[in-house]
Amino acid sequence: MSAELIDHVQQYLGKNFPIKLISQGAEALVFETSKHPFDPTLDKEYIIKYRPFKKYRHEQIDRVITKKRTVGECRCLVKLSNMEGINVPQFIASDPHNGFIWQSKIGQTLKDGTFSNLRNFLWLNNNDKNAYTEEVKQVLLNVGKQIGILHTNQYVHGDLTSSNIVLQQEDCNGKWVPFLIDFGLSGYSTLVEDKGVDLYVLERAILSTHSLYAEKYNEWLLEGYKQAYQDQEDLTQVLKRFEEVRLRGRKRSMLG
Amino acid sequence: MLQPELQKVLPKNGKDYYICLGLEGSANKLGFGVIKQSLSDPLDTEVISNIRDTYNAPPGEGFMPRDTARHHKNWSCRILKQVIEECKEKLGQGFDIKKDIDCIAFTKGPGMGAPLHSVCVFARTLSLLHNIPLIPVNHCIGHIEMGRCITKGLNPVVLYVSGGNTQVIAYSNNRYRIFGETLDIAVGNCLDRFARILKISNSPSPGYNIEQLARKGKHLIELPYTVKGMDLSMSGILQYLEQLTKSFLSNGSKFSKQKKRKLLEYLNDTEMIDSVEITVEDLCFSFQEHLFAMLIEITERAMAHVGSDEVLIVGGVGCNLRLQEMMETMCKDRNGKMFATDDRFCIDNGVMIAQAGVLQYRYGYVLENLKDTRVTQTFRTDEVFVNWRE
Amino acid sequence: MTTNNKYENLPFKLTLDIPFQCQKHIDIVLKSSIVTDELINIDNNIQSETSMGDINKFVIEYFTVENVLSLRFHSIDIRLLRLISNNLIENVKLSIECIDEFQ
Repeated sequence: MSAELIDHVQQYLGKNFPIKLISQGAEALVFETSKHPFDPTLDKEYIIKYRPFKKYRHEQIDRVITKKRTVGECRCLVKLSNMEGINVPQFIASDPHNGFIWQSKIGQTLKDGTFSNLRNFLWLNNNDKNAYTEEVKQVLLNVGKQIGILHTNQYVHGDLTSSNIVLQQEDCNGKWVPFLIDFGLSGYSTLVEDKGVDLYVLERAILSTHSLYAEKYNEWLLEGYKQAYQDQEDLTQVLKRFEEVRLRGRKRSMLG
Repeated sequence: MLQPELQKVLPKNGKDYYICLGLEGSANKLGFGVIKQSLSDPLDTEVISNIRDTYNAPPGEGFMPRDTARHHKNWSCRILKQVIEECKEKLGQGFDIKKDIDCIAFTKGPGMGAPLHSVCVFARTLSLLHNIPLIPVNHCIGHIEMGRCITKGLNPVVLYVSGGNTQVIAYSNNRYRIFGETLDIAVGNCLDRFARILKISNSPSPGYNIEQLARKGKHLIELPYTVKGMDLSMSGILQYLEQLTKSFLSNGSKFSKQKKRKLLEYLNDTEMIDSVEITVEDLCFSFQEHLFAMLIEITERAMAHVGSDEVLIVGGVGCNLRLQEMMETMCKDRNGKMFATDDRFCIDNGVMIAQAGVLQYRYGYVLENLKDTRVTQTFRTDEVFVNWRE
Repeated sequence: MTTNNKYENLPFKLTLDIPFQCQKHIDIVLKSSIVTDELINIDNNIQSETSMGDINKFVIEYFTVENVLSLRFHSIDIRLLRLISNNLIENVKLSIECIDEFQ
């Protein structure tokens, strides 16, 4: 099936457009290319993200969702790149009706040859010796801080998982800098509820994917998150709601 | 691969198989079942008997705990008698509870307190009467283990959809971990409540009747669609549809011209829109298409996240053929495989409780205090330590 | 009805005598439907050899005389008495039915 999709993308971009599939997520295919969409003088490294048509859902539902998410993601990327302290890929171009977005390339290859998202980074360190090192701690603190900055700017991510956070190593000191990606479900929101849910979704993602060390990981993430807040009153409210959402999950009555 | 510990407790009388009686009654279905599980392969299970009776509330109403509990109490003895008759037919006339049954499994939770408790009292009595070990089972684990029996040992992502639960589950490190779930109400509950507004019959089940109506639907109305990561929310879509349906019903089961134009705006053809009527069937169709698209989407997200390409659908809503069809399409596109079961095993039943119970039993579960059999309405899937899997 | 000074603060009372075939059946019924669970709406259970409940709200005393199980309910109000005794009788009924059918 993915061959069929790649053909479609190749056809859309033109026969000789150089692309390489680097990942196939649930929602999108991600390609790497060395070509800028319209300015040949800017040829460097770019990412093309393509949201294919999902055959399982009704055409109209799919059309609305694909467009909404593509447009939403572009908007978010633009807004966030102007925001102090947040690391996101740079937005280059898009075609919402067909589900395409161009953005700058971030991330690299880890020691074990996998892509440097937080999930693979944590899995690489998934043993008692490496799980609790200072390096891991710093990364998670910084990730938490990124989310905190996002929320204090009244944005929510909507799909926080360890695969949607990409790490990039700084040349000068080897420090890992986290970037947030995948803003298809993101948006502007002043609601405490949305932020609480955002944190809950992340906590659960860590719990299910990195279960062995999840408790400590979540603690560090939250610690970093708190650092981003100036206004302690806001923070208290979000954390309170987070606790409520969590309780709702646990105590949800399972009645028919 | 059989773990050696799985043989901790051997079958009675030197047999090479276990016989287990499973009792389920966490919601409006009372189901008793007996299975025969091979000693050498815990996934080699033969269903000896699987009998169920459903309590149906009148149209426009949901089932109340008290009435449901009364139903279970009234039917427990009768159903067990039928089960024993079937056991005698299949295992020989000499079949005897005391002599042949290795363990009795029952649902400890999650579910409605009163119905759960009725079945629990029944299970305790039977266990004490014949001195047969009693095994409390988590209802969700029952569904998953039954499904695993059908997929024969693969490690699929499980979509568990029923009246009270909506979860995307995958196994890792001795627990069934919940990757995604509903943030508010369950999908089955959502369907039931919609059926209640339209006064659709509760027999055989509201979901089944909606499915039949939806098949005749043609025009899609756009509804809210709320996915948050691997979780989803359904109260928004239900609320919106409730309002829409109420105005639909109060207007003589049709929409005003203006409303219709707005609802079908995306068709971009006013003349055509004016010539069609939106029907109850269309409402059901639109509702299902949206709800299920959300479910498939979070399942696909979980699959991509854990890197699995098999899916198993369990739970009452899992019988819905449209849901199965959509899942099948999604899996094909990922070069994966979909497994589903028919209504004998999808809808709550005793067999699945027996299957999960006997796994616990042969691994050495021993009830230390009768108080451990107390039922619980909230019992999360990931609370159970799954020591019978690697 | 016998007066019991011990639970003077619980004025609403009910006595139930249930005859059984044998002591074993009494034991089964007690364990399956009476003493194992907490009483409705009463979490703070005191439990001894012959009684259970909350001394301030609702207490059930139970004892056996020649294969007759005697249950004494002492309640703070009539509503609670009705609720708990009703529920308990239903469970005991189910348990006895089960014993009769499948012994």
